[in-house]
Amino acid sequence: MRRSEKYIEILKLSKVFENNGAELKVLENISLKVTSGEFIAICGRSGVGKSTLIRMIAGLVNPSSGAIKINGELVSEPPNSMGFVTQDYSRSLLPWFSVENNVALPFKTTNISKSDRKAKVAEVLESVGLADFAKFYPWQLSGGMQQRVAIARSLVLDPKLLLLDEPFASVDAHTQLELEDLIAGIVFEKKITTVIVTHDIDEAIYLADRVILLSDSPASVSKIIQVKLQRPRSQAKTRSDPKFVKLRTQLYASLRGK
Amino acid sequence: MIKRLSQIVWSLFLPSLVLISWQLISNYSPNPFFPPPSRIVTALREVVSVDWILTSVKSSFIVLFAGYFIGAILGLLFGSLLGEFIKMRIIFLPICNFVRSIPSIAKVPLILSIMGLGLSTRISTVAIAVLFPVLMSTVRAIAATKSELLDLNRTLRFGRIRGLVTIRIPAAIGEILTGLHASVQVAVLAMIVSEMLGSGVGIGAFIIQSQSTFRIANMWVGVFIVGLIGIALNYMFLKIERKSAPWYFKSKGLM
Repeated sequence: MRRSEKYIEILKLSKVFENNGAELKVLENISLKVTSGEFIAICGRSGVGKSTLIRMIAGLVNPSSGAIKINGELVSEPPNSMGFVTQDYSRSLLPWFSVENNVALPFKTTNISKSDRKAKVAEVLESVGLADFAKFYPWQLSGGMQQRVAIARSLVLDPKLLLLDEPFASVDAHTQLELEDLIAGIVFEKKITTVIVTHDIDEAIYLADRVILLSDSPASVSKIIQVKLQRPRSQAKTRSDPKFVKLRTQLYASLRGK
Repeated sequence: MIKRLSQIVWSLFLPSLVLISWQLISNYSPNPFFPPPSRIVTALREVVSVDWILTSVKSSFIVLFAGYFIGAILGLLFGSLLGEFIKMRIIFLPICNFVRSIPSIAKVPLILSIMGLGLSTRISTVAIAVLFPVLMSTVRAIAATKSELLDLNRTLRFGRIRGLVTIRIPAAIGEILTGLHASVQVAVLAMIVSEMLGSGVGIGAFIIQSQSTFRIANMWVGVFIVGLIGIALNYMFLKIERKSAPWYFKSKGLM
């Protein structure tokens, strides 16, 4: 139980990119702990390195200094039991596979029986509201539905950790709200530790238990805000809650400030 | 239905015009190299027999298909490996580029003197001609895998070979098919040239023999048959492309 206290541990993390001899410091001395089952949102202006940070947690980018541990283990490559959803669904889904085969993709490295696999895929598709679209191809679906497929794929192996990199930045506003509720419902039901990167402060507050605000580059943690809004949250009620409005004002001030 | 019919009528308009004018003009022209189409049709009736098909045409088809498949499969195989493994690419690509730069016509005498006359020589000529363009387009297509898909491969922990087979090759299939399609023309060319240079069999040999014995109408028959084979293969490929990678050809506005 002690271990689950800090499921993700980020220790003095820095990242420097080199480009033709010129060094660009993106992240500086970031330390952060995320407890098991917690939902955190990483916010900041566009281009400050939010995506770099989440890609480092995903094991896709190596730190220049410092370390990331997940469940006590040092991250050097994408960890097992992680789901990762990116902004650009049209590029991360495989157009030659049907929806169900896209969702079943992570099973290729497991040796679970065909019938279990089928049942699990059907269950996950049901949970993202795509039960009737299993045989369709991604390019036959709308953007929001494609992102649902990507979400289903990230959930099919029952991950303990879900990483969302601007997942709703390419869908329309209405779909965004729908997908926010979809994600919130699933991760709280299954107690999945979740990290979302977003430039949308309202979205961050609406979804997260804690909002981490990154400063301008080189990015470091400039503010951490606890969001003590009652769950389950609802788009209409929560967003008009005075506590929500207050947090929002506070975060916008910090983002503009300095 | 009517739209489709009018499309067919319009697409036949220019070829008919050319044939009719050719017929009319050649009736008054003494040029022996352009016999009127009616005479070519007569020659066609005389030339094309079961026997002729079972020798010349069959031989050409064997050379074309066997050569194309061997070349294409080797090209896909090595192209995929070279696309995936950067070190292999650095080692092999300069040689591939060099061999590819030599036109297949220039390679034919070389292959002839090494392998002698015979069916296997002609098949090899076609295979070598097809191999390099297929290989190069496959390398290029695989190497250009989108970074999102490479990330996906890593987060799914697929590893290199599984990733290559499950993600990178299918993702490149549109461009690979385009390369395979372009190589059909190369294959037909290599087939004709290898038959013309001393084999004595096949449509290429028939064309060159008819020309040297001054049977110009027969020569035209051979030329037209090669054209028809080209059109048929092209049409077949269009069908295959649209069936196997509809998302790709749709996104290119080709469907």
